[in-house]
Amino acid sequence: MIWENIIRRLNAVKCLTAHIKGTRLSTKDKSSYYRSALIIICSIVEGLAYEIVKKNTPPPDHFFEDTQKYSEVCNIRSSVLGTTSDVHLYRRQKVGLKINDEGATFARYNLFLKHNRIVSSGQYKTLDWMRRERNRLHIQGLTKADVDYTKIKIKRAAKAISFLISKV
Amino acid sequence: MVAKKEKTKTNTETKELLREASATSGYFKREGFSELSQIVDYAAKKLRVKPSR
Repeated sequence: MIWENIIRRLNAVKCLTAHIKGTRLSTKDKSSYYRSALIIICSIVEGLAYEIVKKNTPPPDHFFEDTQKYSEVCNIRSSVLGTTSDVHLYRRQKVGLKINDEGATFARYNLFLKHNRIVSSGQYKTLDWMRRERNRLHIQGLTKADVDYTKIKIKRAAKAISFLISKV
Repeated sequence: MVAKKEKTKTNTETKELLREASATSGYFKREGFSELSQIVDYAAKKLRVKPSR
């Protein structure tokens, strides 16, 4: 189903960009359309990155990264140690991160692609830039005006679709 | 001092933007894309013919 949905979103990007091209719009309005297109492209790229990680890791769990898991062993009261607060001891364990785990993020997919030389460092740079652009979706995290969405950004993002599509 | 730092940051961002714009334009030329819609069509076509989807 992911492929059909990616095709649907590709079509949405095409509709948006055709609309921008065929309509007289102010720069501000164009930026708004480009914002929508960019977010859609970022979601497509994240989907493609996910599929490439999946393709390059063994089923069924698709472990793709070693990560650390911390579990509490004991809690020593401050009164016993004479410290200002309780001391918690944790055991650190190395565990594999599965592709569908909560901690499996766009950032980690990108790193996997880079570390396994599936993408070049330049391509990784583009992917990481896209991740940051995608994160601008979270309006509460913005520290400056949410402007500057341009055609060149859309083209840069589309470039990522192009180089990832040959790897899925 | 803060204003100077901000200006330097903006200059670096602008430089990076220009560099990326040039790289993107080069990529489009190399791959034979002139329009964004061509990449979209190319990607959709590739996905449609993917086996075992």
